[in-house]
Amino acid sequence: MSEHELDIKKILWLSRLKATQQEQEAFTTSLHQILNWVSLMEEVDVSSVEPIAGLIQAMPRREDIVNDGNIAEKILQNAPDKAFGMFGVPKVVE
Amino acid sequence: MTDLCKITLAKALEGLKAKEFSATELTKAHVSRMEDLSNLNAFITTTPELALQEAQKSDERIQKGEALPLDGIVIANKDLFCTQNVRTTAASKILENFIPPYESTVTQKLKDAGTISLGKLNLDEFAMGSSTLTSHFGSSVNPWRSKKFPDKKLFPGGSSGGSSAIVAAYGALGVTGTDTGGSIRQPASFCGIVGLKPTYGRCSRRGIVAFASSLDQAGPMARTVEDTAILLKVMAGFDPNDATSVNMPVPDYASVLKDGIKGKKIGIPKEYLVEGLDAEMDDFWKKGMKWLEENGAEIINISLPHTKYALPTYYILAPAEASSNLSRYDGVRYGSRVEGSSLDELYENSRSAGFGSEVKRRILIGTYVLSAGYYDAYYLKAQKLRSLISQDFTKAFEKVDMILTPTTPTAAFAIAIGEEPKDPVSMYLNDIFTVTTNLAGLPGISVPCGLSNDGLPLGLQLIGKPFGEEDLIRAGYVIEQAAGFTPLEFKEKY
Repeated sequence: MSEHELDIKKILWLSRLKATQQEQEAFTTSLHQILNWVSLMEEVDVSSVEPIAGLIQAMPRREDIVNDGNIAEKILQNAPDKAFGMFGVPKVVE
Repeated sequence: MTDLCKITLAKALEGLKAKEFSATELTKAHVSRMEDLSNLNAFITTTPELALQEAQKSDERIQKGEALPLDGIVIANKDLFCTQNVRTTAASKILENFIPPYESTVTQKLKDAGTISLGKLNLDEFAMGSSTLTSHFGSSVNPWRSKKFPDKKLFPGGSSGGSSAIVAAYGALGVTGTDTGGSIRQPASFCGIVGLKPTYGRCSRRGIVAFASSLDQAGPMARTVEDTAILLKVMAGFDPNDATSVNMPVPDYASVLKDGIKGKKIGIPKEYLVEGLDAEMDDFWKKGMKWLEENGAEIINISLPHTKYALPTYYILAPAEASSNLSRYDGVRYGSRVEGSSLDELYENSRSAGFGSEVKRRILIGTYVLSAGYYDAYYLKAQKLRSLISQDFTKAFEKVDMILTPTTPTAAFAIAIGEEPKDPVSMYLNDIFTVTTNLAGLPGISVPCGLSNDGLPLGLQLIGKPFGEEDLIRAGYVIEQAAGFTPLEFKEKY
């Protein structure tokens, strides 16, 4: 992993972000800096280690019951575009 | 009136109880102080009218003998906590006009205890930073100035930098912060106040704008260990709406304040003696050992062998979680929107205009390390290293009760506003002593221990066992008493 292949256009697309040519170059440079720095991790052999995603081992389950409802207005309160009790988006069907 | 701003939270509680002053008087003093301190840029949103209304209700309860546990105590909240009908921005342009329809659990608990909030405090955008530099609303200013360059404005640290600045400058009795990699402890250290990051799961994360969900934790910041303990008791506790919050009774933290540390074993990790550790900071670290020893603790050398991998691990995991969490900002349901001809273009336009460059950088890194072909090499590897780092602590805590380290490697922010480095990695290095506890989910407290030769505050950190907050409060109090730290001089303005 010492040579970091970095397809900045693809990463931007996956992140749903746009950047000018100049910004793309700046992001590429700083991403390379970060990736070079984190490559320190390579020197540890972790082949026999279990990964952990968090510290809480067993999260409690709760009953699947409705505890609110009829709050459509509250949910839509911050929507930039709304109509007929729904979120507005650009046309998505041809 | 300003005298009411100088007192501690504990003294304010006594004064209110003894009816030496009213909640309204206490609130008015802080509202007027808030105006005097406006050049610290500590607040994003202020709510003085709301505060005065609440103060009146507090006074009515106090008069009737129905006072709530913290009735009339004047606080403020980091602008990462959702507050019902009060704008919550996370210091981001994308949430500039976001008005939450609900209240976060932690701020609700504080309200239910009778506290009065002055408003919402500045931070790094989405809590991503160590300085408040990345706030859409501009940096906050540290009320401390260095002796060498008294004209230079310094950062208050971050991400809870508005929080640390306002408490240090006597603008609130205590505040909330959040800590993902050091965001409570580092700014507390840079502003000469106390900051406590509880064990992961001790406080509910519900209603806190998510950054890295497996690392984020809310905690109190105040001018004394006692005040921090008083606030923690109210903030902590199980919340059925946060499955990672832990269902355990909440102790009366302040009651153990003076219990001492006789017989406690304090670990000193050799790996924290890093290159770049300031000589002055190192001296205070040694003084800290001596203070604890003089109070009956035993100092034991320990090893946390994977310490040097903690920062790289953190800077893989935190951005990975952030890239996922921040995918919710799509310009459709809430947050600002920039139109586009297709739905994807709407997403891209809204997100590109709404996020600042550090947030974008972390989304990009996070997306990259989670993407096909790189997941195992980065994300999975970092999760395994997190295991090792966590195991280091588990082993160490078989021998010791607490661990003593510096909070930060250097004396209060050596960087003046406007002179920050352009290379992101050098800013990330500030978190070197604090990220390990987030990775291991452990509690940590930063207590001011003295001033550098340059006249800037330094902090010592104590790390505890899971749910070992009471130990931290006891040992933190010992350090506070032994250090005899001189707090910031009270001035009209800074």
